[in-house]
Amino acid sequence: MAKKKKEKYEKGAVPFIPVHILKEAAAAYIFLGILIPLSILYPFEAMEPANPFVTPEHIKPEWYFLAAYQILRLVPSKALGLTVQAIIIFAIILLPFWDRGPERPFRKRPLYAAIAILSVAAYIALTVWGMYS
Amino acid sequence: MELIKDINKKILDWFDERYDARGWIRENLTEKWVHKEINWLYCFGGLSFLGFLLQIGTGVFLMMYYIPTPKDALVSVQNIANNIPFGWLFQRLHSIGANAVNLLVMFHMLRVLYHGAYKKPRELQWVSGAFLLLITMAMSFTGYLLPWTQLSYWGATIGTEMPGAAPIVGEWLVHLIRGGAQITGVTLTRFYAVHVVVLPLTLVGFLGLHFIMIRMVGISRPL
Repeated sequence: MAKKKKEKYEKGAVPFIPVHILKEAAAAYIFLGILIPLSILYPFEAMEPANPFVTPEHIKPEWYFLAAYQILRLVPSKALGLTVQAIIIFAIILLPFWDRGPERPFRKRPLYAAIAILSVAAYIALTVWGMYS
Repeated sequence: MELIKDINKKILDWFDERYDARGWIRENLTEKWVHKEINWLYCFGGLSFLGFLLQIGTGVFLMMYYIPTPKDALVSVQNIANNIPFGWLFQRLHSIGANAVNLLVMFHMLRVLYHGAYKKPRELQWVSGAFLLLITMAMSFTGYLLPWTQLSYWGATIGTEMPGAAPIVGEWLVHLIRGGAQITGVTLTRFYAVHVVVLPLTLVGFLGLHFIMIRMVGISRPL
């Protein structure tokens, strides 16, 4: 596939270097400017060594697994919970093959927009629910 | 100055004759175009990549001092955090940075989702990206066990129980992941090998595909 020539861009093109790369660099500085202070403000804490004979009372996964964990807790059967998770993962991987309409803007495909917004809201809601239960 | 210019030209000529260096530089650096309307939302992919590089950098440093045995794991992590020069910083950057990478990858996906940027001709960019998310999460999960604390031990216990619910192969899968019926030192070395070799290599492979396809098709146009 041939590379797109400058004239082919509908509303005009800018050179990736330096225009976009500068934005990326600025964003990178902001990212590091947040991450490094966080690393200093939240120092390494003394942690309890693993003990296979004592199960802690409250055990929760990291925040990014909370939604998945919450689904497993809500669905009564483990096998069903696992199936639900597998379906969600496959739906995400194969998204471009089931959402095939040519329109891209949200307002031109209300059904898809509704599914997308509800899914993201559900993920956030399950995560928060998992945090406080 | 003239001499330096001359040497530069000679070097470029040498590569030009063999690899079309000037053409490559033009196509990929000086005349690589993107849509004029591309904005800040388009930075999350690059930031995820930066986060991943940071994880590799800090991770290699941690590997130099970390000992993957139940007896020494936590002691060695504490040694990194308390005694090794700047060890605390690398340890913190790695463990807080893991959260950051997950967050950045999710933001990147949200941007693509909102723009519908995965539509033809970019379907496989999305598929490879979805795998990158899964690998990122697997990296987080395996890395979480390595300090061998109560939290990581029991977190891994619950996490590795999950595939047990799968029909027929469930039990066998749990046994394979744990290297036994319970989480033991065998699980620790297993997770360590997967965390520092298997997953990073897989991730680099998918990243390569992701980047090559993006380069071939170009960045999608903002709405």
